[in-house]
Parts: sequence; C-alpha cells; structure tokens
Amino acid sequence: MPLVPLDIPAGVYRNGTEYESKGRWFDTNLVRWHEGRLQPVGGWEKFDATQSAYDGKARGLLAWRGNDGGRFIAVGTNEKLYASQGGQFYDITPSGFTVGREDGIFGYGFGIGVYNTGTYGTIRTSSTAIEPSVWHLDNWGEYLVACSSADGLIYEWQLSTGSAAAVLSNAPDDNIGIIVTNERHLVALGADTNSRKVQWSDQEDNNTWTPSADNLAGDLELSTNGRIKTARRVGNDILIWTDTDCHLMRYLGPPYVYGIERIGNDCGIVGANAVAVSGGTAVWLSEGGFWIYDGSIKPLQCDALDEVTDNINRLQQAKTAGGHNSEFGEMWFFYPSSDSTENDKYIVWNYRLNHWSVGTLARTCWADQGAFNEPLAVGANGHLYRHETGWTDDGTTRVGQVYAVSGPVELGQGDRLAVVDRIIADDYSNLPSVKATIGTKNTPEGSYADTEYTINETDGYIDVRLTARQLRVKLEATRDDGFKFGTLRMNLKQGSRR
Amino acid sequence: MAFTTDFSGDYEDVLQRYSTSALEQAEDVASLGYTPYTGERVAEFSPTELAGRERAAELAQMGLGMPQVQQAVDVASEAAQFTYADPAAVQARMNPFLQAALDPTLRAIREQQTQTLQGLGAGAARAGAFGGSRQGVVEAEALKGFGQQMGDVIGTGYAQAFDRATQLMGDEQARRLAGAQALSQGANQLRSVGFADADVLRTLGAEERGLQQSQMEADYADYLRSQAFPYQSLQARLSPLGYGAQVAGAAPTVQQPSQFQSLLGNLGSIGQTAYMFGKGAQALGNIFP
Repeated sequence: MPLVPLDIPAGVYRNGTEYESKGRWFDTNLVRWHEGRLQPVGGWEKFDATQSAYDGKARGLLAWRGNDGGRFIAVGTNEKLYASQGGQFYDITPSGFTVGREDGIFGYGFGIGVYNTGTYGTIRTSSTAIEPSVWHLDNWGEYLVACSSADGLIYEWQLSTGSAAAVLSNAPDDNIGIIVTNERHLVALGADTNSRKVQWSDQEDNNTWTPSADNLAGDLELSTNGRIKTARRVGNDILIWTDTDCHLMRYLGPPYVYGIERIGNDCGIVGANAVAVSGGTAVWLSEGGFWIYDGSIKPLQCDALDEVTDNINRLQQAKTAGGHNSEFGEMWFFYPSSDSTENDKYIVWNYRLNHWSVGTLARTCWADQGAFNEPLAVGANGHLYRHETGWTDDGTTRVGQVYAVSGPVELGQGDRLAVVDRIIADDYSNLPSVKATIGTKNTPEGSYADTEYTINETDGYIDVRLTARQLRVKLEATRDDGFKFGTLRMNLKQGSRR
Repeated sequence: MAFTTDFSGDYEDVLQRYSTSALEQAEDVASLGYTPYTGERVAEFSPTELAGRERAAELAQMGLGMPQVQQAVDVASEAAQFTYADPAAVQARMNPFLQAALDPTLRAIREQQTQTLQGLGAGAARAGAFGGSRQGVVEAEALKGFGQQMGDVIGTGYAQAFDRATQLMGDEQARRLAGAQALSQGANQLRSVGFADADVLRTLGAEERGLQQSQMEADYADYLRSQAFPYQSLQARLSPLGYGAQVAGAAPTVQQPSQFQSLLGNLGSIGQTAYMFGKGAQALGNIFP
C-alpha cells in the first residue's frame, strides 16, 4: 500500500462547483500559504483599547511619519476626520464639513431614470446607485491633505492636534478626490464638478492652481466615457481609474508637466479604495474581475473570482477596500457580501506564489506596515486595529474560524474507491494546534461524512479507516497559536469500482 | 532922377550946384517909397521832387509788400505752432500702401504660427497632454512670441513710416518758412526799391529846386541891387561931400548866399535820400535778420 502525498497546491479554487476544485483547496478562512506552507493569518488587536469607536464608517486610512520621525495616522469616516499623534486620536474634522453617506443607496424619486418615460410627477421606482462617501488621504510633505467625496473640498492638516484641517485656499471645489504626485504636485480628481477633469497645482505650492507661463499648474480632461473614481501612485506614474477605464498620468516636465493616456478599457474600478498597490504594480477589482497593472494592464486570473462576483453586494461594492500586506506579499480586498451592507468578506492574492485565499473579516480600510510595524485596518465596528500581531481577534479566540478545506481528492478519475488507513503529517511546528477533519462521500451530490482526527505529533501517525470515492480534508486550528502545515501523506490503496 | 552935373564955373559954384543937385538927389532918394519885392523868394518843390514825395507817400500809404510780409508772418506764426502730435496730419503723410507692404511678412508669420500651433498640438497629443490648460499656456506663449514678432514688424514698419511722415512734415515746414522768408525779403526789396525810386525823384527834384532857389536868390539879389542903386549913386554923389558913409549906412544891403550854404542845401537833399535808403534797409533787416 503506497504512501500517497496529499500534495494540494497553495491557494483556493472556487470558480465553479466544489467538484471542479478537485485537487485544490476549496475554502479557507484566516489562513494563508506562506512559502508554500499553510498557516493562520496573524491576529489583531485594537490600536488603542481605550479609544472609542469612530463616528461613522471609515473610508480612508493613512499612516505616515513626520519629519521628526513621529508617527501619524489619519482616519476619515463619512462623518469625521481623525488624526493620531503619539497614539492619541484627535478630531480634526474641518469646520463646516458636510457629513457624507455611510451606505450606498438607490436614488429613487423624481428625476431618476430615462427622461420622458413614465408619467410626469410620479416618483420613480427604478433606481440609480448612489455611492457612499469616501476619503482620499495623502501626504503633502509631512502634512495631511484630504478630500472627501461628501463635500469635495480639499483640506490640509499641518499636524497641529489642536487645529482642525482647513480648506486649501485657491484649490478647486467639488472634487472627487486627490493625490499627491512624486513631483510634488497636488492633483484634484474630478475637479470643479467635472468628473473627467484632472487638475494639478503648481509644483511645491498647493495654493496655486491657475495655470500660467510662470508656474506648473495645469489640468487635463480624461478621454473617457466614465467618471473618475480614484488614483494611486504606481511606480513613477499615477494611475487614474474611472468606472469604465484606466488612465496613466505620466510626468513630462515643463511645459506640459503631465500627460494622460488611456491604457485600459472596460477595467473600471468598483470603488475609490478597491485597489492595492505594491511598488510598480497595482491590482484592482472591477465589475467583472481583477485587473493588474505592472507596466501594462491585463486581467488578473483569479481562482476565487466567483466567490466575489457572485456574492458581492452590488449596491455597496464601492466600499470595497484594497490593501497591501508587504510582509507576506499579499494584496487584500475587503468587500461587502450580499448578506451585508458593510465589508465582511475578503479575498487575498499572494503575488509571490500567485494564489488566492478567501475568508471573512470586516475591515473598511487598510494601511500597510511602514510607518508602523504592523498593517493597520479599521473594522466595520469603527475601531482601528493592528494586524499580524498575536493570533486572536483582539483577545477573543479564533478557534473555529481558522481553517482550510480542500476540494475532492480522488483516485484516478474517481472510478474506484480509495481506502485510507493512515495519514502521516509533515514535521512542522505546532501541529497539535491543528485538527484534521476528513470527509468522505461517493458522489459530488452526496453529503460528506466527516471524521475528526487530531494530528499527533508524538509519533506522526494518524490512524484512520476510510473508504470513499471522494475525500476532503479540513485543517482547522484548535488553539490560538501559529502553525505551519506542510504535506499530508496517506497510506492509500485502490478499492473496488462499486 | 537923372543926375546931371555942370562943372563949369568956379569950384564954389560947381560945388554949389553939385551939392544942390546931390541934395536934390538925396531928397529924391529919400522920397523913394517902399517897393516890395514881388518875386518868389523860396523855390517850391519841383515837379520831380513832388512826384518823388508823392511816390514815397503813396508807397508809405499803400504798404507796398505788406501783404507778402503779413503772409510771411502768418506762415512763421503757423510754423511756430507746428507739432508732430497731430495724428491725422502724420497719417496723411504716411505711405498709403504701408499695410500692403507689411502684409506679406505678416502672412508669413501667421503661416508659421499656424504650423507651430499644429506642431504643438501634435506634440501635446503624443505626450497625452492635448486639450489641457498647459497646452493652452504653451500655445499662449507661442502666440505671444508670434504676436511680438508681428508687432515688431508692424511697429517697425509704422515707426519708419511715421518717421518718414514727420520728416516730410519737417521738410514742408522748412520749405514754407523758406518761402515766407523769400516772400518777406522780396517784399522788403520791393518796398526798398520803391522808396529808392521815390528818393531818386526827390533828389532830382531837390536839385531842380536848388537851381530854382538859386535863380530866385539871384533875382532877389538883382532886386536888392536895383533898390540899392539910388543910394549907391547918391553915395557916389555925396562922397565928395563927405556924406558917402552915411548914405552907405542907409542903403539896403544885399547878402549873397555863400557857396558853403549852397553846398549844405545840396547835401541836405542827398542826406534825405540816403536816410530813406537807410530806413528801407533797416526795415528789411528787422523782418529778415
């Protein structure tokens, strides 16, 4: 009887039926494959346990260091703008700030729908989605510059905890967002109510916006049939997304300063924060799937795309928040499932090994480590968390939440029964923290009969007695602890064709 | 009264008779009445001199040359008020074909401008910056350059035309002044010649009058001599009697004009003529210094 390695490649495959994920992992939660080995995603804890929840839902998060090395955090919600210096948060909401929408809504009512259809004076029931408010946060030197889609004004906060952020004089109004370029121009997206207009300030002067021969301020309108959503620095360039396409904003120097070209069609982004950037690479979620820019734009093959596209709440999809987890080479995307109005699910792309994982975690925005030692994220509950620290959910056990479930494992084409009498686990650390549940069934439409086994590290053998056409393995943490799971081998022989 | 002397007899008788005759003659002389001189003593202006005087008076009254002088003065006054600040005056003297002369150069610049703008647009499009405000800035700068270029062409052309027009205006003024000066000089010359002619007439007339005066004086002298003759005769008669001196003292005397006085009279006429010449030259000199 040969020992057959249960060599399931890293990553989840959830496109199609469970059976189509044969030989792959079918479901995961709070686990990752790091250097090819399965392990739990790190835990998280509140950034400040004494801090009460933010007012509103956070739709923007930025962490940075000041010139003196001090660490700052800015959090923008639909109601407030907060800043942290030295760990303590201050309300720096600009005076007169217009509170934005927490959720996406259907715009019922008069004026909605096609003109001249239906009866005059009646409220329409057909709808147009109106997106929730989001913040664009960036740094102007060590200062914070911010813009909320709620009121479209551009604010600057000069690190004075006693002062609120103030409107930048001369900057355009009614903007969609902002970004600061590597060349030190402040860029207003969708400036002056023109959803195609990209306007930038003079270099090193965010109060000069009127173009002239003696400054470098300027503007361009995108050639697009969409509406600007957001922009990110990607490498040396700026990527600008609309809801239909993507544009590259490239520095030319004087006299034109910047040029913009459309580099991708039908790859619009679903939300202002639905993008994760790592160096010269950006990955974002569009209506139809993930796209990647690494010098050119192309669709990003996603083995778990159906999990997103079939389950995302389309009305709230603009809340989708991407983030980079540089320590593990991952790009995270939090999105609202159809059962939720808030981000509650995630999907992760590991760009080092090119695999995906999925799970449940309610985060509305994310900031990679850098200014702080750990990634930061704001939960849907309005608390800021440090991630990848410990193994618990802010002190609450995650036992039962950390698992990976394989797809069906068959012998050949599944025409024979497989008989397993022993499983041998790899020799990695903390295996007692993991239990294995082996499910068996004979047809895809049957139900699994699950049997739990504790992986015994003492002698390395798990004695089982299983006979079925299809097997599946669920590895699940039994303790709030880290573990690394390698390859399972099964002592397996062919059974009958019954 | 005839004086007869009979010298026959003795001396006494002769003396008696001589004395009686002389006394009778003296009585006759004494009985002579006053005979006024009826001739002309002062010569009147001669016709020539009168003609000269009339000519001079006529010249003085008619203001010979004054219209021309006034005309010259008017021109001079107008010239004093001359200015280049009258655009219409300058414009009227500028080249009417100036714009046509500039158009080819301007057209070439415009063509270059169009090509440059097209090039800028193409460059902006290649750079992905087409249609932006920076393109507007770049185009505005280019247009400014071309505008300056065209402005320079137009400005230089018009400046040259202006300079030429003002030069023409200056020339015109110089010519008008020169004409006025010539007119004034001509008027003065004309006036001087007129007065000179009149003076010549007056001089000639004065000479004629001088001759006539001399004749009158000669007549008057003759008259005086005729008047004095009885006395001279009586004086001659009484001289032997020792009364000649007394008779001589009572006789009318004749004073002949000396040659010096005649010379002065002639010189006075000549001087008057010369004075007239001098005044005319001075008048010309005042107008055309």
